[in-house]
Amino acid sequence: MSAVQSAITTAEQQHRIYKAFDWVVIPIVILVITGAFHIHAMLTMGDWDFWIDWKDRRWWVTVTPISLIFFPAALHYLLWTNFRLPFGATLSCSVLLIGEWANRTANFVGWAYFPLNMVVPAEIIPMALCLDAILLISRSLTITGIIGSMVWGVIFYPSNWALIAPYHVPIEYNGVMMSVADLIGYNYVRTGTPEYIRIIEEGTLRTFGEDVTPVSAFFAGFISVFMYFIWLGIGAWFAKTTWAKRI
Amino acid sequence: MLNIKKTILMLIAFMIACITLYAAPAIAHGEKSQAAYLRMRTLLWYDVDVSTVKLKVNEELTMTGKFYWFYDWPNNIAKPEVAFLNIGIPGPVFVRKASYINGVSGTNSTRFDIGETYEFKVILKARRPARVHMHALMNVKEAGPLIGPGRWVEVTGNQADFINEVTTLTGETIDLETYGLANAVKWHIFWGVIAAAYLLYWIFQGPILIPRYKKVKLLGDNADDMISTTDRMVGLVMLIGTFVVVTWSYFNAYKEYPVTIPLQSGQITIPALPDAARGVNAEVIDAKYRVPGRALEFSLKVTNNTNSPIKLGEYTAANIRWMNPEVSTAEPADSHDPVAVAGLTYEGGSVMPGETKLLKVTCTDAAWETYRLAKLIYDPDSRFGGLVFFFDEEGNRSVVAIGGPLIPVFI
Repeated sequence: MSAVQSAITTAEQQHRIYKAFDWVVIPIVILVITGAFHIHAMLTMGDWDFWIDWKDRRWWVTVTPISLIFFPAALHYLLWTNFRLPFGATLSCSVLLIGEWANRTANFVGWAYFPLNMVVPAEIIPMALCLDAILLISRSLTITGIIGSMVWGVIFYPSNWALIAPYHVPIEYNGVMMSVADLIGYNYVRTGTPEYIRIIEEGTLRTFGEDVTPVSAFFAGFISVFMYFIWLGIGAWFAKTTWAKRI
Repeated sequence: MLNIKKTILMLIAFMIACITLYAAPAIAHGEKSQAAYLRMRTLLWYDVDVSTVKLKVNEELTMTGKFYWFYDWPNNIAKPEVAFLNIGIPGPVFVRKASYINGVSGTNSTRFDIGETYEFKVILKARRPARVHMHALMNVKEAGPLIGPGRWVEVTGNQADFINEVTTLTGETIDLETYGLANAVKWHIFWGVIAAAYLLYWIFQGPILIPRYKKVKLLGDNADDMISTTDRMVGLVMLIGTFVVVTWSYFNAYKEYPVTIPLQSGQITIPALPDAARGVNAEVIDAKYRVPGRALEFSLKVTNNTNSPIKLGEYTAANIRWMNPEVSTAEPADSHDPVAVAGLTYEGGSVMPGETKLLKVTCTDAAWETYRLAKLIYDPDSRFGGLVFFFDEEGNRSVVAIGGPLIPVFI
């Protein structure tokens, strides 16, 4: 007879312990993901997401989906292979937006006094919902990577057009035509962010006229497919359970 | 026993408190931090002034002045092929209603020529109450910010009274402070609710971590069976619903805003002002910096091709002015305006029309130390630069750029 006896003797107790485990672990995981994903987002898409006058139809459309698929992909691996939970993308994008709104209201508005409409973050939930839904329906990370990631990149711009269209209405200002977003960027002085520092569409001889957005969106989707699989691998590396085999 | 929910709530409250803690504002812009030779040989500002230093929210202030792109531009600094006239303030205390360079709107980035002079005007509208040290500023691509003279400006009133209205080309009058915000927030809330509902659908299925982990390991290759038909139906509805809402919102936005344009990114070139030297030539023959006396001493060969005798009235570099009160006077505009009111003396008197003369100039002031210009002798490129101002008897001014090697004198 063993000298050590389990404290859990009934199914009800076990249920309570499992629930308590969820209560402890889930908030910690959420905080970690919020912080890590937010830092990642600021370092990779940074100004494109910070400022309304950076949300153009070429670079913003390309950079944002590609850089943002990292965490959803890694979490897909962790949550799907270990728990069969298909909400890695929705979870990571939701907490990222919570972090971004906290940052924009406390930092950009509260401390630096920029108007909130100048620093509204991009809408990324629809992309996340599609990625998770495709995983849920297909039950395959491979299909999710190929189809879901393409959808992820392609619907980014249409999902955001409802938010940013008002800022693309033209204005005549001091003899120059600008969009409302350009004017907001010009009006509200940013000492360290001069006009030229914006990396936005300038037009090239190789651009298909005004059809910049669809090309950028499909390119973003195409690259997102590769990024998804790379980050599945990184997720697999981080999700090793060798240290927790006794659970 | 530890109350987990209470602990989590306390942690969240602590986090929010940390985030919202007051951060002390910056009250300087690093005007002394850059290497002295860079401050003296890049962009030289002069005649910078503000229309008022006290104003209320919604009132306007105009900053005017001139800047000269030094002829002996340091090789290691990118040339002003792309530059932007800016204002150095801590956040948008003001909104920039207009900016002009030689009368041309400065909304776009601009190309400038080395060795040329431009004048500028910036019209600012006070937005929030604050006392700030405001600088003229030029951002140069690949180089960085070149900061001009600063002024203390105080804004009083209430930020809530501030309005920033413009009329679009479609005829709508909008307030840029709040325009489009309600719409953006509405969409974020809408999608946030959907996301929360989806997450809660899974989380409310009971303890989800340990039981599901064990089940996945137990079922092995059949773990996909944990996803029920209902779950997949939820996924299908969510996928189709997302497509429908995104498509509808996209076309609805086009219906609401039928006229839209892409972000504008053009750049312009602005012709320079006529030569401010007005026929006066000046060349540095030799220059010394006397460390014990905190004095710049240089010999200047001046040729006067104007019709009047001229005298040297001022030397300026790195936003500091050394005045010769016998010819030209100036007082500091405020506590942080470095003006050596009697800092310049010279031997040689007037330079007559058609005459070439050697002037021995001395510029003395503690500003050499306090503004870290004396560090020039320890810079990797110990050449100085600046502008000298000559005045004729009628007060007409000739502005000439000078520069050259600087030899320190330690004893």
